[in-house]
Amino acid sequence: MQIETLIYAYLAICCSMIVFNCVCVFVFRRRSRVLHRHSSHLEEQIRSQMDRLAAGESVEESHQMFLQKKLRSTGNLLAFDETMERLLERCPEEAWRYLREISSVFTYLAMENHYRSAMKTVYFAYIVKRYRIIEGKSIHVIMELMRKLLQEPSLYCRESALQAIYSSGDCAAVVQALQTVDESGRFHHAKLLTDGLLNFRGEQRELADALWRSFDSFSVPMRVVILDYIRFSGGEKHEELLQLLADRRQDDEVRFSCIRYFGRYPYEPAYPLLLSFAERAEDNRWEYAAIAATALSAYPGEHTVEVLKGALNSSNWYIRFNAAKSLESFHLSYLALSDVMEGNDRYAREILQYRLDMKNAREEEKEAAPV
Amino acid sequence: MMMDGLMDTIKAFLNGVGVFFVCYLIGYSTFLFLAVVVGASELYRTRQEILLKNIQEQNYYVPVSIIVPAHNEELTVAETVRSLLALDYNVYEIIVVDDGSKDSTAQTLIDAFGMHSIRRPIRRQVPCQPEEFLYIALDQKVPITLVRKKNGGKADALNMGINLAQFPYFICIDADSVLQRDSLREIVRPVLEDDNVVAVGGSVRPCNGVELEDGQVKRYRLPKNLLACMQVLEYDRSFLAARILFDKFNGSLIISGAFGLFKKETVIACGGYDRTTMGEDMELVVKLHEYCVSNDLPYRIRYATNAICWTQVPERLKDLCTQRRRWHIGLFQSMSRHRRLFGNLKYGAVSFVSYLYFLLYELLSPYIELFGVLTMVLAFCVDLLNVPFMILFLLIYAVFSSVLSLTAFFSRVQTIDLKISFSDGVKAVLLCLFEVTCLRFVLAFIRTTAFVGYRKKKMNWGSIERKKIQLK
Repeated sequence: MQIETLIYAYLAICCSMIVFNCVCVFVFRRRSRVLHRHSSHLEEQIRSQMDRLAAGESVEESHQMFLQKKLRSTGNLLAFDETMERLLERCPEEAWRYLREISSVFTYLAMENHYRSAMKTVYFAYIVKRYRIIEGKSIHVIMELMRKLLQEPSLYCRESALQAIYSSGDCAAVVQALQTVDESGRFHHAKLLTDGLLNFRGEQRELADALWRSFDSFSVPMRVVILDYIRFSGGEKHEELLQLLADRRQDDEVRFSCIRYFGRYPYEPAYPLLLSFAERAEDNRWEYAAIAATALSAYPGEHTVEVLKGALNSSNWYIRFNAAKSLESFHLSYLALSDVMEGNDRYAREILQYRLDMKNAREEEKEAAPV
Repeated sequence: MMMDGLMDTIKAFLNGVGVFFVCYLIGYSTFLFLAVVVGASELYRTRQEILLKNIQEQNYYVPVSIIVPAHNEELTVAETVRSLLALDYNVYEIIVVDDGSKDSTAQTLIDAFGMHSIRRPIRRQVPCQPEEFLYIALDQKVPITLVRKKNGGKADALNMGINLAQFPYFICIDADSVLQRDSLREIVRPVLEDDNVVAVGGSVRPCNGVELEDGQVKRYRLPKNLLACMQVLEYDRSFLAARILFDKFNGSLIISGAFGLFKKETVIACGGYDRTTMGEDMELVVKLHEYCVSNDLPYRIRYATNAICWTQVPERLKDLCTQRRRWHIGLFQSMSRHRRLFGNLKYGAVSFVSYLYFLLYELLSPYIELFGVLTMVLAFCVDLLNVPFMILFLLIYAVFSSVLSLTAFFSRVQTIDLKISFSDGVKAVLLCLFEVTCLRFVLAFIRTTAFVGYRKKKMNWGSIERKKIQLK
């Protein structure tokens, strides 16, 4: 009879799960109703404070106390979120002004840290970022809480904390946050970091300078993130990056990022290096030639064309492909490319033909498109 | 004297069989139970994470190539590509591989998207049949490439797609499936979370009865067709819950061919899709496990619950037979080819949980069940069958399985905010019992006879009646 007992036990647990499901349906529906009710109630209160602000008065002390008490619970924080979303849509200026006025409430909440689980603290971080609570100011208590979140194993915890820190516009805090992430040794996707840095609410150039000053203290993957950020945020580090590119002791990934930088920002002193990379792969790494072949599209000229035509004969697919793409971007005549098109290297011919076909297809589609 | 000896032998045999089945059923019940409990908890946790903004939207994404293998899909292919163009994602390309269709699959696409013929060199990194022609469309939201090649089967078509893919990750989908609007963002999420992810399985759900608008569910109903309706329950219990459980210990052995994401570099390193198997989706995942473990590469194969792909499930028994036969033969091929995973410490939980589960409860289960039935007949003949106990036992088991199906179904429906009508709820309750008592045995029969005609049909795509998916 033991197997029956076991199945009865399983059955009982599954039945309780069905009961749990039913209770969940009830709770979710009720929660949704309660949320809307709280939200409407909050909206009334917030509107009256917004009216005070419009009349040149400040937010009442009692209202701030009320928020400090209410927003300790995640349910009320959800209602606050819903209300503010609505108000920001209807009267954005007044709503932003109100949010600026109540930032001390969030300092208090961070200090008390009532959100026991990481999941709830992440939501708090989201609110801080979404409503620009620390924009333009570095509130120590909130920053400390965010730094704590950076130690969490969950990627989304770290990412939310970083987003909140980016919104502060504080360069030093961002550098410190990246150092914390770097030292933790946990994987944090480079795309998320670069994307996040571009959301920085302060002066992008100041942040680039601050990151550059601490460049050597970072690991290679983080250095690549910083270089990518510099590339996407406006450049202006030509000389420094040229030195990195010329330094053979630097990691390959760092140098690849520098080549991409000079593909985006043409810089004459970098040109000879790019040509030499495209002509012969450095240290047997084909990536140098492939990335340089792309970067050279920013350096039109006879010599570039010759080097790229040479790269078309490479045995590596990516080098051939990138060289053909760069040649296509120069809009050369068939005559200028006839040596390749009528030459003996079938692979070079095919890849160039493909890029030219692509160009023609694009032009045809452009012509066919309705004006 | 001789009769007594024979009876003793039969008794001993039946006792042995009894012990075996007790262990077998305890194992199966425990697995199902764990799968549903873990699956349901995971679904609720994800819901809570979404509510509290613990999973955030990102503006930059991992670029992916979507490969759509198509064979005689003129009815659905253009609609499928249109639905792919409507996806909420920035950087991707669509590659449709027409695997020597006999209908006008390629021409339908060329006309629908005003495609241009192009001479494109193909870098053959994995083996496939030669191409006949290539077309591109560049004026759409993302580039669309159409390649028509000689017929070589689905795996061969997918390999062609891999050879054409420009991006480091590729997604394979079926030409008769529709991806939910946010599915690419969801399937890419595990890649952003962990650099070692080499494959991610999407969540495949039956779309029969579902109304989709702009890649979102507009109205969710259980299908009118009873066979399809039972498959909805089966999908939730057997696929959704089990895959969430396997995901917990990196033990997924199957990523559905209808929706999966793969790291191109790793797939190429292990030779791409196997063109000689019917279950190329399972074969690839098992091969990835074997390749990564043999080469001591850190790797993760994940399952993305919220990356949803809507697919048509067969509404005719004949089509269901074709589909399940193909699945069972594919399972057999993969399991037998990678038998070194069996009882191999090097593979850890993949060997001792996943492989063992698929061997005992998927591949061999129809034969074990048949053996059980034959034993019952023998026991009845020699008057050793306790009929009331047997009936009670089967009833308990049926109710247990039904409760599990319902738990999985309602957990899924609730956690993704689908609204179902009261009548659909009642329908699910009534049909779940029918599913475990009838459909299960029909499927067992199909799987038992799967190898009949295997040699003759082993490389066939197999035709299943297609209907246009209700898109608006």
